[in-house]
Amino acid sequence: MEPSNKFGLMLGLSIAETICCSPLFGIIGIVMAVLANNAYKAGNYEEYASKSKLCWIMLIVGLVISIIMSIIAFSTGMLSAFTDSYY
Amino acid sequence: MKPVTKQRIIAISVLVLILAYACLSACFHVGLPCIFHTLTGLYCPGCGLGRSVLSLLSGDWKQAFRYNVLLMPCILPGVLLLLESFVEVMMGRPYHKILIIRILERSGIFIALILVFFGILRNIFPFLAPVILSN
Repeated sequence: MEPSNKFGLMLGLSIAETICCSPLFGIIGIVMAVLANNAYKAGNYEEYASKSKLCWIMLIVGLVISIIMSIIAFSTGMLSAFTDSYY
Repeated sequence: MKPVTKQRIIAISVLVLILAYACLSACFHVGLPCIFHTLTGLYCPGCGLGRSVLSLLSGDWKQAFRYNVLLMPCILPGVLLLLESFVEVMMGRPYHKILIIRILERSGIFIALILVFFGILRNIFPFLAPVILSN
């Protein structure tokens, strides 16, 4: 059965992660989303499924790491050190 | 669960999160620290965006622009686009017909490339980096 192509959503969330949370994981997510979309357009749905799964994993890992490090920054009182580097 | 219901729940959750963060940021004048900048000393494409929004809310357009020259002009259109897409999701519009999805599918790669290049260039050219204007 042909899966639904979520390229727009994956790319949008990857761009948002690049801007807001973690540029590294965001850029990897963008690359994975593009590769997944190319696989979908070529009719290779298995590769699309694996690439899109990788994309979601990258997004979630990047978000979780960003949240954990932010919690550490707040709880250890290191926030003042970040006042010149917050968003 | 129907896909439309799932989309609505996700859209409402995202909206609540964004509003909660915006309120906390506006009330206490702090934001999430940029871990990338803290660890590497380099500016990411989004560095300064939160401070830009706070400056805009204070009416300081010049400072808002100098915090993030690329994304500051995109704040208002971006907010309007997100709100419009939120309304479309709540009205049950099919996924591929939601405005923000259509825009991303057609020009998302171009947008991503601009962001990445901006992120690189703002670490080379000081006028692209976040700057606090002296009063």
